Amino acid sequence: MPMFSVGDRVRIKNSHPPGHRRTPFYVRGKTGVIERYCGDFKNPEELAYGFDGTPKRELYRVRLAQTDLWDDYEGPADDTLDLEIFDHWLEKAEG
Amino acid sequence: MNQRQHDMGGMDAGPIEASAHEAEPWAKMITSLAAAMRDHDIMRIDELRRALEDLPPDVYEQDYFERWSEAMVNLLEEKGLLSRDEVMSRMDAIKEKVGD
Amino acid sequence: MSTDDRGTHDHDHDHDHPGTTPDVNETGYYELMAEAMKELLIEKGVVSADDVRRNLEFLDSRDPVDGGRVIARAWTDPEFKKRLLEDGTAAVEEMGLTMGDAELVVVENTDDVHNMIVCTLCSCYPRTLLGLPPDWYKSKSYRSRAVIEPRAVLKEFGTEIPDDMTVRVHDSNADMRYLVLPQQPEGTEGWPVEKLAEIVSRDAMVGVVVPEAG
Repeated sequence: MPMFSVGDRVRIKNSHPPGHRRTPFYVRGKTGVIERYCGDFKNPEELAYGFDGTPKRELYRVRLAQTDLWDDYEGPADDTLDLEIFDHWLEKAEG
Repeated sequence: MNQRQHDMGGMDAGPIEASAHEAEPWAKMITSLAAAMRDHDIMRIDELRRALEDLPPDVYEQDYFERWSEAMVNLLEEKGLLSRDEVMSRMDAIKEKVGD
Repeated sequence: MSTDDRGTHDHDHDHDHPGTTPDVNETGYYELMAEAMKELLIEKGVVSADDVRRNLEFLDSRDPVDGGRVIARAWTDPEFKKRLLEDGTAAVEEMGLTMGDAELVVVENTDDVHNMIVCTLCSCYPRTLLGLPPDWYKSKSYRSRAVIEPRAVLKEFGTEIPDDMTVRVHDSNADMRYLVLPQQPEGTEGWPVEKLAEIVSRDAMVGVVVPEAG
């Protein structure tokens, strides 16, 4: 049973752990919407250090508004940025 | 908290050079070498990415396949599969053989 | 670790040949490094020469024309297009193409949405469909600016998207690989699939340009 559903508002954790992470700096702490559940995949943060990456983690596509990501975004409010985030980087956003 | 060197989204950067030249034979070769090792699960893409990210800044500044080569040597040494010294010695030997 | 007789022998003469130690600033340094790595890994039995050759052949056989054929088929076969958008990996497999360890997500350009692909963290790219990525895709300029100012980047490629359309940027930072399904250009209705494939450039499938009938 996936942790999040399509349409859920989620916040990407504003965490800066050392080491290999696949959550880009520019989305940390930002809020978006679950666009789809991609499936379960081995954790790259573990694979990078020779571990087998299991148990697999849930991967989600998150859609964010560009105007939420960048202070001076030049473009309409509808422009979006989609990327994949693993479940442990996500928390349900209030409101 | 600093944005790490490989994590480029939103960093200051100049115009895009739309150049696209064919990768050199040696670049294709190391790509194939990495792929061959991945086939046998000897070296994972995640490990190689991590090795790239951990390169000293001056090495990371190099061109794409150059820094991949450096990351590969470091990673292979970490795994005990070869040493940087061995690579350097072999480069010596090849260079002498070719007579450059 | 292993006694390298050849290497030891050469080093006996090191002082007699001061110019032989490779210098990182010399041309051919990385060519030498690649060759050295390959020789050592094969000698040590880590990989075989066959393994490397096979992978090289596969790499050389990859070409954006494969991606173009996928797009052209989607333009001419609505059922295929539906399958492509639902499960890209399975759909391209129908055409004899493989995604390897990755999964394919095909994103469709419409009258309302223009899609653009980037990998800000490294250079993830649908290599099995398009071949090796172009230099610009791997450059700091593209990787950093595609997410923060996509419309300005598109302009640099000669592509202008009006404000009443949405620009959607996809940062392929995990196991998905992306292909843009551009809109079929006007004036190409009824064209055979082979002719359509020819007008779909790699750049159109990355989303920095739109195809033209020209």
